[in-house]
Amino acid sequence: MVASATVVTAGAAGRRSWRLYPRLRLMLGTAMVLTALLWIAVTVPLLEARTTIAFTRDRAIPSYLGALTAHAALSDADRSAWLSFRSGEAQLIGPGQRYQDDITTAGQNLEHLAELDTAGPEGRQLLRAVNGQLVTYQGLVEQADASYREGDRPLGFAYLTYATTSLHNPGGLLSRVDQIGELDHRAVLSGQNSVWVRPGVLLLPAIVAVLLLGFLVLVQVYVALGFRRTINLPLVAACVLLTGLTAGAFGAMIHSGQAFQTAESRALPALTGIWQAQIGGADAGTTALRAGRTAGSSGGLDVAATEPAQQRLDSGLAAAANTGGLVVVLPLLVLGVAGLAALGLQLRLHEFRG
Amino acid sequence: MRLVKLKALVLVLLCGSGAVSCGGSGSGASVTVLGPWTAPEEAGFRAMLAGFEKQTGIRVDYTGTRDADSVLASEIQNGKPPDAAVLATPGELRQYAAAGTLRPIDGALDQARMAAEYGPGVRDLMTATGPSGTPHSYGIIVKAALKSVIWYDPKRLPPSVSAVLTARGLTWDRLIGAVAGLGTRPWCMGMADTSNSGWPGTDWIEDLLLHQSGPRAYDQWVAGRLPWTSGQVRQAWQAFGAVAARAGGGPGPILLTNFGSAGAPMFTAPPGCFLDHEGSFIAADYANDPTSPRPGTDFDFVPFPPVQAGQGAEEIAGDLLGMFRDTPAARKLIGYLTTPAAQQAWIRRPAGGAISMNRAVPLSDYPDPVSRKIADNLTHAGTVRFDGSDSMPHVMSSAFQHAVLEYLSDPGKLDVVLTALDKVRQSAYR
Repeated sequence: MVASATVVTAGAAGRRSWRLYPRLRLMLGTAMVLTALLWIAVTVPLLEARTTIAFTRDRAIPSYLGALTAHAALSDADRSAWLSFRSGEAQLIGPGQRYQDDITTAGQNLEHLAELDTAGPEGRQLLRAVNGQLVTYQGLVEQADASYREGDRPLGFAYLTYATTSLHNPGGLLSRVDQIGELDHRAVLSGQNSVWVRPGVLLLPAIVAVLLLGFLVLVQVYVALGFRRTINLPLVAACVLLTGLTAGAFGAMIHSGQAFQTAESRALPALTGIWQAQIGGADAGTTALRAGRTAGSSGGLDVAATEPAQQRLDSGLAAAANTGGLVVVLPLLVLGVAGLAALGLQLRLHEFRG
Repeated sequence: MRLVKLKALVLVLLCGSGAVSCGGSGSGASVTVLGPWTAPEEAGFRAMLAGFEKQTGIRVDYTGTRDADSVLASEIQNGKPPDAAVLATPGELRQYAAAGTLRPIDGALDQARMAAEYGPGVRDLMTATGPSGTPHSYGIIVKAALKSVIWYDPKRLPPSVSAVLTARGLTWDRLIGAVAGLGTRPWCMGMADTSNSGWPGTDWIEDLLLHQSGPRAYDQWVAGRLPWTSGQVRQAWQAFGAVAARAGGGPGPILLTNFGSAGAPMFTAPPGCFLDHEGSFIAADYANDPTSPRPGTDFDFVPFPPVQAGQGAEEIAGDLLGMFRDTPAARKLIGYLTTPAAQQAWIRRPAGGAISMNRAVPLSDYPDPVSRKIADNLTHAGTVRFDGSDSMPHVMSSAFQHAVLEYLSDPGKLDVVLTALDKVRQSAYR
C-alpha cells in the first residue's frame, strides 16, 4: 500500500505504474490458472491412457489369449484322445497323458478367465456353460475309454465321436469358448480404439501449452517494456521449463501410444496367429483320425512355440505402460513452471512495494 | 422417513452384494434362462421370449446348449443357477423339487386360467413334491411333442406300402409286412445326440412296449416294478433289434448318425431309407434339409400302430421350464409362457415342430396340415403316456440310453444289458 501510494503521487509515470500493479496481479493469476489447466490437460489423458493400457495389458489381452489357449488345448486334447484310440494305446493308457495335460491346461486357462472376469455378466454366463460342457466332454471320453477297454471298440469310437461332436458342433464347448474369446477381443479392440491412446488426444494439452507459453512470452515483453528490464530470468526459465516439460510429456505419451498400437496391431496378431495355426493343426489331425486316416503326434498344442511371440507382446506392452514416471514428475515440473512464473512477476510486484 | 431411507440403503447394499435376489419386474430387469434348444428350436423359443420382452420390458438372456442338463447340474453345484431352466424330463423336475433347488411357481400361475386351459394330466406333470413333502407346481410345459410317430415321404414311398400305411386299422404286423418289400434299409435310424445319445432307441423300446404289452405293463416298468429281464420288456428290445437290423450299414452308422439327420435319406433320389421313427419335433429338422421338404407334400406321418387294431396309445413328451431363482421377473416370465399368446408365437412358425398343450390354442393356429394333425392326435388321444425314460429316475434313464447303444453295438449282449439295467433299477428307485 505504501508503494502504490508513492506511485500515485509521482505524476504521469505514477499513473502508468498505478495501472501496472493490478495488471501484474492479473497476469500472475492468469499464469497460475493456465498452469493449472495445463496440468489437468496433460494429466487426464495421461492417466486415462495408463488405465486403458493397464486394463488391456493386465486383463483384456490375458483373457483373450486365455480363451485362445483353452481352445487350442481342448482341440489338442481331442486329437490326443483320437490318436490314443486309433493307435491302440487306449487299451493300456486310455486317452493318454497328453490328453490329461491338455485338459489341465484348458482348465487352468478357464479358471484364469474366471478370475480376470473381463467379459462381464455375459462372459460369466458363458463360462458357467463351458464348465458344464467340459465335464460332459470328459465324461464322454471316459465312457469311450471304458467301452474300448471292455472290448466294445465300435461303442468306444461312437462315444469318442459324441465327445468330439460336443466339442466342435455349433453351440458346443469350443464355440462357447470362442464366444468368450470374442467378448475379450472386443475389450482388446476397445482399448486399441480408445481416444486416450490416440495422438489426437494431445491436441487440447498442446493448445493449453501454447497458450501458456505465448502468455509467458507476452508477460516477458510487457514486463521488459514496463520496467525497462531486458530479461526476466525466472520468466525465461519458466518458458524453458514449460517447453521441456511439454516436449518430454508429449514425447513420452506419443511413444507410449505408438508402442501400444504396435503391440496390439502387430505383436498380438502374430501371437494369435501361432495359436490359430496350432488349433488348425490339431483339428486337422482329429478330422483325419476320425476318418480312419493317419495323423502324427507332432503339431497341435505347443506352448513353448508361442513364447518368443508372447515375449515380444509383453515387451511391447511394457514399453507402452512405461511413461518414465511422468505421472509423478509432471506435477513437480508444472509446479516449477508456476513457481518460476510467479517469482518473475513477484519480483516486479515487489518493486511497487519497495 | 429416516427409517425408509435406511431400509432403502440396506436393500441397495444387499442387492449389490448379491445376498438377496433383486430381479425387478419391470423395465431394466432381466431373467436368465438355460435350455437345450439350439438352431431352429432356439429361434422358436426366442419368438416366445420376444413377445414377453415387448410386453414387460424385461430382458431375457437365453443360453441354448444340447448339454443343458449337465450345464445346469454344474451351475447348481457352483451355487449359481440360472433364474429359470428347461428340464428335459419330469424325473429331473421331481428330483430338483425334492432337493429344494427348484422354487414353487404356484404364485406365478393364474390357477383358474390354468385349470381352464390345461388338462388335469398335464397339470399333474407340472406338479412335484417339495422338500417339505407338500406338492406344488414346479414347472410349466413350454412345448410338447408327440413321440409315437412314424414319418415317411409320400412321394417316394412305393404306392403299395403307402396304401398299407394310410389304410384304417393299421397294425404293427401289417406295417412290418409291408416294410419287408422295401429293400435292405427300410428304416432310417440315428442314435447320436452328444451326451444324450441313445434316446431315439429308448423311444423305440417305449413305443414297442406300450403297444405290445399295454399301458399297465408300461406304467409298471416306468415305475420300476416290472423287471428289465421280464418277458414283455425283452420282447420290446428284441423287436427294436429286428428293426435296427433293417436300418442298414450295421451298428456303426446307426450309432454315429445324428438323430436330426437320420431321416434325411428319405428325401434323396433314390431314397436311402423310407420310414423314420421320431417325435413330432423332427419336422423342424426336416425343414432344414437341403431339398426343403414341405409338410404334407414331402413328409407326412402315421401314428405308431398298435399290435391289435383299435387299441392305440400315444406316447408324448414335453419340455418343462422350472424356476431356480425366485424373482418377480422370473415369475412373470413363467406366467407369460403358459398363455395362448406365448404358445402361439412358437407353434405358428412354419415347421417349428412345437405343439402346445394349451387347449385354448386352436388347431387353425398351426401353420401346416401335418402340425394340425399332430396337435389333433395329441389333444384327442385316448390312452396317453409320458415318455418312459423321461419319467424314470435320472440314473435309470442314463443307464437306459447307454444300454441302447451297447445293445446296438452288439445285439448278442441283450441278456447282459438287461441284467445290468435291473441292477441299476434296484438302486435307482430307492
